[in-house]
Amino acid sequence: MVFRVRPAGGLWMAGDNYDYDLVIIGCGVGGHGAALHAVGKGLKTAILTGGDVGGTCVNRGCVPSKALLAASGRVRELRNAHHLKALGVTVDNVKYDRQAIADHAKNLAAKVRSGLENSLTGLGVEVIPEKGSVKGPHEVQAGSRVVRAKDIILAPGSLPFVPRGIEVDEKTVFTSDGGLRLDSVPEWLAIVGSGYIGLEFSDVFTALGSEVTFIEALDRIMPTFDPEIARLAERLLIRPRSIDYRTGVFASEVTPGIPGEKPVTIKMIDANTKEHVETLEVDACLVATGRVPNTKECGLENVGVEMDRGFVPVDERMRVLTKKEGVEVVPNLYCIGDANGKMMLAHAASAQGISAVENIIGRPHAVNHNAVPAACFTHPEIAFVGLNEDQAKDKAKAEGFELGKSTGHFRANSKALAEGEGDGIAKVLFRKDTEEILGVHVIGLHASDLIQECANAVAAGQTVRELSYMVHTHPTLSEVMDSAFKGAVGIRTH
Amino acid sequence: MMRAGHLLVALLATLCPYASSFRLHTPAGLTARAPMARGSVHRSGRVRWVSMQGASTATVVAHDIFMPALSSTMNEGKIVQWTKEEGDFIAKGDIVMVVESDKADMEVESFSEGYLAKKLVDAGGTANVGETVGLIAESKDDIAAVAGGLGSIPSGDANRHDGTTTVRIPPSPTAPSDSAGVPETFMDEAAIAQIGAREVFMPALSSTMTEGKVAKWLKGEGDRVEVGDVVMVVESDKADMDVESFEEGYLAKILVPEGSTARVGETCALIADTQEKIDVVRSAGVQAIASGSGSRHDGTTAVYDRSESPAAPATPVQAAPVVLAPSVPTTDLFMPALSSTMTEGKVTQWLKKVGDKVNVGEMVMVVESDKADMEVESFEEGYIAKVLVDAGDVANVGDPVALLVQSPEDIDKVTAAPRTGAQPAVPPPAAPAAAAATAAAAAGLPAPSRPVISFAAVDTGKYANGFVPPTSLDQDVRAQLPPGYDPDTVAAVYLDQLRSTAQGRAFLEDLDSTPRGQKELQLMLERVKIRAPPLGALVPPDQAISGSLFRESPHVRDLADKAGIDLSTVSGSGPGGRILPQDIAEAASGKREHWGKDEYYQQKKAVWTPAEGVVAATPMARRLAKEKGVDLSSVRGTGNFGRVTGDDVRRALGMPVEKEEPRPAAPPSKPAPPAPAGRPSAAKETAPVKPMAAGLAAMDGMQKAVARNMEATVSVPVFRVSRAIVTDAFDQLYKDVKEKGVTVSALLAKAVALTLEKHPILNAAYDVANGGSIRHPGEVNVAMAVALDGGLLTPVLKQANAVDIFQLSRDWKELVNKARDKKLGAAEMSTGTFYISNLGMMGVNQMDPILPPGVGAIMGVGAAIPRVTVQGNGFIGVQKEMTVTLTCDHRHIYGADAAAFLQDLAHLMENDPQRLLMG
Repeated sequence: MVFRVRPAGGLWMAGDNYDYDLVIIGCGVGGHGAALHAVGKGLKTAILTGGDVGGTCVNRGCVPSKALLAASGRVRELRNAHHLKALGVTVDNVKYDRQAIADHAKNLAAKVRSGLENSLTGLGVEVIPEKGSVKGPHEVQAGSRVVRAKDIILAPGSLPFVPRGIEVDEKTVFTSDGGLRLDSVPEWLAIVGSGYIGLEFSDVFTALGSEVTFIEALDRIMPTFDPEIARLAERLLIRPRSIDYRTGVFASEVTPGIPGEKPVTIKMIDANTKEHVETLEVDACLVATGRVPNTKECGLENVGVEMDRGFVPVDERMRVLTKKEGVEVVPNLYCIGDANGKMMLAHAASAQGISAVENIIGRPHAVNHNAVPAACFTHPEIAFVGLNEDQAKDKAKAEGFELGKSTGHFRANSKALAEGEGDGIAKVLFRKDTEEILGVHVIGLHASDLIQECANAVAAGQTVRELSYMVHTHPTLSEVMDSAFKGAVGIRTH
Repeated sequence: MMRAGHLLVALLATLCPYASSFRLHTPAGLTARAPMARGSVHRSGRVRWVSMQGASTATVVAHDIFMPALSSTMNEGKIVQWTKEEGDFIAKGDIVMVVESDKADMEVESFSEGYLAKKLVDAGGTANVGETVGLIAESKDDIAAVAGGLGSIPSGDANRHDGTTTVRIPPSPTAPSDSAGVPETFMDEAAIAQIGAREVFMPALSSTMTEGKVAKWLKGEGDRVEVGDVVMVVESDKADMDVESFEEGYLAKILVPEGSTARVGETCALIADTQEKIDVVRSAGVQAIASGSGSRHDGTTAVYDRSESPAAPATPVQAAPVVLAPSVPTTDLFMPALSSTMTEGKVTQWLKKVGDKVNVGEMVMVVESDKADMEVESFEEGYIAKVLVDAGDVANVGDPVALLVQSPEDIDKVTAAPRTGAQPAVPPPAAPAAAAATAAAAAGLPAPSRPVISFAAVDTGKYANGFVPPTSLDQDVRAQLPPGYDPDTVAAVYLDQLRSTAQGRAFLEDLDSTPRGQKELQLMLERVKIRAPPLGALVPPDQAISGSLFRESPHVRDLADKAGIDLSTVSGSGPGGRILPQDIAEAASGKREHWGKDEYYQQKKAVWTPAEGVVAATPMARRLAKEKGVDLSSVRGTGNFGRVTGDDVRRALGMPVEKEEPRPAAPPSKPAPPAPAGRPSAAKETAPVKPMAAGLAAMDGMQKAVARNMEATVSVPVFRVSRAIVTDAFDQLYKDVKEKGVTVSALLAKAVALTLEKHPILNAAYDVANGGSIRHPGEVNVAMAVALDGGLLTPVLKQANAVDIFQLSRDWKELVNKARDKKLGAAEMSTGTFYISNLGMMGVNQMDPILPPGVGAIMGVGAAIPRVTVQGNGFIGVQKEMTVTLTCDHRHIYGADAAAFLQDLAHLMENDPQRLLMG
């Protein structure tokens, strides 16, 4: 029998000789979310930060990139004299200070990081700066000592993936880690990979004056986006800017340069034939080819877990499995966030952390990943939840229902026009029979804020008809969603 | 009060023999200048609008001014300007308004006489083709009635589509131009005139009609057509009408088959003047239509051609068989209706370009409608041969936006089609200057780095000596205008281009000489200004128009002069990169920084040789080069590692650059290796060869001004006269007064000035105005050339005849110093009435100066060289002689004038130099 007492001193004690009820390895957004939820549920919790409170999101990802996007977006906006003039605004001589923008990002990360840490200590989570790994059941190696915990959550996160042949010096050839430092604004930047990381960086660098070449291995640019959204994104975010791209090619060899002495050399080969197609000599190269789980030193071999390309296999309740597609659960061991590969997003990790804690305290819970929204913070933004159109079509075919699609346009939205930002669409994919929402994709002004009601609706299982009767504030961008919902059930808004 | 639409048009009633069908004369056969009788279109029995003034028999005769079809693609036109006000009397041929069409601005003249009673569409407003835009009352007393009672003329009104209004068109090809050097607008007119095609086009049968369906052709191909023959029946939105021909000839080709629809103004059929030419006309297609043939009352074809055809002389038919562009079947891509309320759409982006293959279902363009942006897919398969509506332009629903052809080989044919493929064989007869106005304007541009703005010439027949001033900016060119060209800049460029030719200058001066002309010039400039792109469109603030003379205001130039700042080193922060006063202040205080400049990469410009196969060009350079067909390897790169940037390509194309970057410093030349001591010969061997500069070097404003001025004078007929002047006495005088600060230059100027007093003709300039006159400036201002490092200035000694020699010398020194510091004011270097260029101090024997603009003469001075001569006293002796050469404008100065001037100058300097100290 397990019981917990809470002594007057405020210290909690774990039962059964455990040092802690829960030890969390990794202090990114996922670990942090799990830790807060755990102490809220009365678990004695420790978190092993490995010296990286905040993890990728806060230090090398979402947070600093938003700072760069905010600053560079303003530069872009203020330099768009034509657009401003349409609003009756004249701005002369817009300048920026690269170092100040870089500092803004750095300071923001520091601020968020310290807030994060304070919340942990303030709420009673023991923060251990050591790096942790699984030593055995209930045992965690924390630096030189071993701590015992009843349950363990792995939240080690991920690292930028650097394909073979690419040499990274983080100065002229860099990953997102180096890119976010904004050490320079190169005349010509090559970005290997056209996913959302690459796209956001292209937004930053082109706004600041760089020219960009995307190198995409798949045969279309932005391959991870809904095809229609990708097409629009190409029209809005690539073509009008100083960007070009190559598709179907690998950057097979990238050699760093020396500023002012020699350029970065990028050799490209055909993705299929592997034959050399072109060599670029650029000023800098960002490698944005995705991320790999940071699980090498997690000690999972000590508990008999066979990893899948580095990802930790888990079931829907975040319990670690001995192998992929396996059924054998490793007791008291959970893995959340990028390391399990379910959905490599900060807020997904956080949701998974909370879910894992729920499961730990005996309330079975599973995250509905279909209802987790995602966003790309370009100008304009891209956001989506659920299936993309191709996936939805496949599903419709497989399950024999008719797929419905309705589109709302920013061009017809008063608020968007007032802002002079009429570009973009909101697309709702739904089952025609049940009117269940399968996916929503938005590209346009503040898309990342607009997606939320759809995510909520998907999570709550609301139908598109129910949404179409929800009242949307006028005049707001949310009416773009409204017109899409209404269009889905045959109500005209224009 | 009169009710709208009820107006009695009396005069037509008797001309209407037809009870129920309209009989329509096409304007074919109507030459633009030859007004057609107002009754040429006869109305039916509905022709009477009964006045509502009860039983009054008073008749009010009104005419309307309607929006003419200025081109076959024009559906609507914008009234840029009304040149008449309400109440003004309008004579036949008076220009009533300026209309902006999709191609160009045109002046529209009235063929009716009367009083402008009401403008229905204000300046700036748009009207559909055929729509009534103004009302004319025949009598002054009727102005109020017409203005108050008639909102619009009922459909089928007699006055429209028959020549109530028309557009001035270029001179008919049969009428030889009266002056050589006239920019000939339509190059293939000679050939076209030989082909002699006429056309039948879709008339505007009512004010609401924008298109008509050819219900029936009453003549077949090959049929003889007489004037007055009904050739087709057209179904408009109101009624069926017979359309008859005013041309005689043979129906060569029916372009719009029965049952098909044509837009108002579109050519429906071609008429050949002889039977033999039917085939030629047929194969030539619409391009064979002679402009000004009257086939279109507005010269449409001509307008279209001008924007398309390069300035190539055409072939007269009798000289060589006409090579005609084969007609290629094309498929149109239309502007789709994307919503029930959409009437027009803007092509925001072409996803395919000319040459691209298009499959059925493939997205070809993005269209912005009133509600949404949509990608539009093609229902046709083929290759894009021609884009008719460029990205950013608007087309009405249903209008073709691009042409598809079935094979890639046909693309060129379609692209080339408008340039009726006659190859030049012999020069056209009575060849008026074989340069289109656009080309002339371009050729007149002195500086290659300045953007070429193509101004289209529309002959209004108004200006003396046949000069056709380009009066509007071709809209096709507008799209290529550099951003940041505000209306004033465009107007300034326009004026500058005009001034760059003698003819243009003469024209301007001509205009300037009368108040009426000045007003006209104002109108012209207004028209040119409206073609400016939106101010500052997409221009980052520091992007400057490189090399433009208009980057700075005179005030700013002044400031820069005073601060001693080279404007080319200042990046402007104003719209379009204009240099503002604060920029000068910042530059002066050294605070100026370039935004976005990144010390990390941009400080060091490495010398780098790209690896094999590497295209050293940025994405934007590649994109631009592809668009403009530029070979990147031919462009010198100024980017990092010597790569070609977008701006480098722009520079190569003579387009203004976007980013004002600091001028790339020349790669540091390696210092010569130190010569090893004691081995001078070795050192000599290894002495580096001084590298010679290669490539283009930018010219500064002063250099460009010199180039422009010099070019401008080549059209002036000059002659040159030289003589030797013995300078011993002059030299002696100089020695005597040297200590008092008197300079040779001042003495020379004084001598010339005093001599000019006696020879005012040498001090006068020729004025082209009013067929030529001699302009006496009223004072003697001697300008003398001063060589500067890389330039030339001509400071002016004002009233050199009146100012004493000592003051003159002081003035000169001051002027020279100012010139060296580039601080000369405009008045100090542009007010010369006579020029002296003295290269004697550099040992030059004799020189042959070029006449600067605005004066009658310049004198070149060589060195004074000792010569053995027989002197006046019979002894052989040595005397110093200098050779002076006068270059004079022979339009008003004759050889004897020059000789007499030199004789008196020589006399003064040789025999009476003391006089120089007196006056």
